[in-house]
This record gives sequence, C-alpha cells and structure tokens, in this order.
Amino acid sequence: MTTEEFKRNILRLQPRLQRTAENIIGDSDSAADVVQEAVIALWEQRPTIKTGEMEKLSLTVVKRRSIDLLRKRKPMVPIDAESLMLAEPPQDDSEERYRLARKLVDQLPQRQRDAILMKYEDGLSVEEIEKATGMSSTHVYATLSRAYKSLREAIKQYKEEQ
Amino acid sequence: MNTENEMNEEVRRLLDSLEEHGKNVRRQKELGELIDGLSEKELARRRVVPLWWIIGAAAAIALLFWLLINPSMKQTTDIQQEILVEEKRAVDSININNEAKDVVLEEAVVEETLLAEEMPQNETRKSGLLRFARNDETETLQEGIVQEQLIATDTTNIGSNNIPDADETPSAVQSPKRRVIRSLNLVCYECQKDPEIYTKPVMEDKTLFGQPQDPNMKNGALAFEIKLN
Repeated sequence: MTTEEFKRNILRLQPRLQRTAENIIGDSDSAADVVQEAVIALWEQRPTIKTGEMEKLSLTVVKRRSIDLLRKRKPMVPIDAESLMLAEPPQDDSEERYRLARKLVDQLPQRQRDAILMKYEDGLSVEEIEKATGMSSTHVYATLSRAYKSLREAIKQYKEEQ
Repeated sequence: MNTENEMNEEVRRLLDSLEEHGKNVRRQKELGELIDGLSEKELARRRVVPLWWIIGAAAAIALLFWLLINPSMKQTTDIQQEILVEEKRAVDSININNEAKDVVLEEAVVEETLLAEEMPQNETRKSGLLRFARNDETETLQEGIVQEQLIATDTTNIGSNNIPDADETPSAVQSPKRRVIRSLNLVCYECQKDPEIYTKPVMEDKTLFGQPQDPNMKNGALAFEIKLN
C-alpha cells in the first residue's frame, strides 16, 4: 500500500475509528490519542497491509488499544474485552445531522452564522472570536444568544415542513 | 415548556454535531500531518540506508586490503631475514678468503723459517749438535739458546730470508693468538671447505699434541717454538 493510499484510507476511516474508540473509552480526547497511536502502528505494518483489509485491521487495532488504555486506567475493574471487541460502533448518523445543522446555520444572518461556526465547528473560544471578528465579548455573547434563538426557530420551521 | 426544552435539546444536538464535525476535521488534519511526518522520516531513512551500505562496503574493502597486505608484510620480513643471512654468508666467505690469504702468508713465513732453520742445523752438525737439530719441539727448546745464537749469526748470510720473531710475523702482528692456535691445529678447517684455496693434505703425521699434521706445512712445531720464544 502506497503512502497516498494509506493516507486516503485513514482519513476516510477517521470518524469511525474515533467513534469506536470513544465508545470504548468514553472520552473523545483520549480516543483521538488512541487513534493516532493506532495509525502509527498501522504505518509500521503498511507494506504488508492490503487495501481491502485496511478498514477491518484499523478497527481491530483501535479497539485493542482502547481496551489496553481502559485496563491501565481501571486495573481493578473487570473488563469484558471480548464483548467490546465484538461490539460494533454506534450507528453513524453524524454526517446526516451535520448536514442538517449546516443547512440551518447557513440560513442565519452572516454575523450569527460566523459566530456559531467559529465557536462550534472551528472550536474557538470567545476571546479568539473577539480577536477574529473585532467584536467585544459582550457583543459575541449577544450574537451567539441571538443565533441560538434563530436556530430554534429554524428547527421548528424545519419540523413543521417535515 | 416541554416543547421549548425539546427545541433547546434539538439545538444542542445540532451544535454538538457541528462541534464534532469540526473536531473530526481537525483530527483528520493532524492525522494527515502525522502520516506526512512518518512518510518523510521513512524517506530520510531510505536515504540513509544506502549510505550505510556504502560505509559497510568501504569497510569490507579496507578489511580485505588489510588482509592482503598483512601477509606481504610478513613476506617482506622473511625477505629481509634472507638478505641478512645472505649478508652474513658473504661476510663469512670474505673472512674465509682473508684467512686463506693468512694461511698462504703463513706458509711463506714458515718456508722462510725452515730455510733459516737449515742453516744453523748445518752449523750444529759441524759442532756435533746434529742430533738436536732434527729433533721435535721439546729438543729444540732445550737447545733454543744455542740455535738462537747460530740463527743470529747466519741471518746475515741468508739475506732476505730473515727469521722474523713471533711478534714480527705479519699474521702474528695482526693476531698472534689466532696464529698460534691455527698453527697448533695445523689445519684450517674452514679453508678445507673451499678446495680451490686449500687441498686436503694427507694426515699421516701427528703433531706434538697428537693432532693430524700436514706434512707439507710442518709449521706446528715452528709456530709453537716461535710463540714460546
């Protein structure tokens, strides 16, 4: 498997790997660390991995590493590793929900939309949004509050249309 | 109220999905950078590996050269030793030649001495001392004083055949001890190795000390006599 193939496959599988790890560990940041470690381990084995095996193998590695981390954290708590290994990751409806969220957010006024996307999608703090937009913190909080209100209205309207 | 809470929950879920998506995007970016870093590291390693091969090959060649050169160094020392042996042989042969020349010189001296000896023998014969003149070294020693006197008187008649003293003979002057010893042995055993220089004599006669004597030389007694004198 070439480097480009490996990269493409990993980036495609990343949301699923993240969810799998989060489901076992219960912590998104630790799950992200586990995914990174798994990617490094898979990189070492890259020459022997066939393209068709990538998904199954990467999921197995992430599960094993997640269980190992869980054992390190809670050595006295018995872990049913077998059931965790066999457990499928939760149904992936995040993409659908994201698409809906993005559709509703895009209908907001420009300033409210920018504030929501910066805070949630880009993960910026209020101070960072202040610097990025040149607004004061009070103005940012007020803009966000108006954005939540607009979103409620948008959801209500969406549900009525459904 | 309940509807408002539901709506708030819906908004929260929407915002969570936005947040999760954003996080995933950032994680994917991090993973992409991680893979790029791993790829660069691997490329750097691939570049280094041929360098190691070159270094290893150079070391192997150096070792091979060392192994090839080391025996030739041994050979050189062998050749040097052979040269030393040859030099020693050459020096020995030169010494042998010199000693052979000494022997020839001694023969000449002995002949002179014998000629000188015959003269006093004639005189002693006239004076009734003939029996002592042809005797061996012991008898000659007994009559040494008389003979010396006679020799001294007759040397003027002999002319160039002067009898040299022990200290005056050429080889004796150079190495008197060696001359005496060689004269007592009578045979230059080293000279015998070279038939051109020395022809092996018939060793029928014996010296005073029971050693085989060259009848042609007869210088053992004379040399002994000269040394004693």
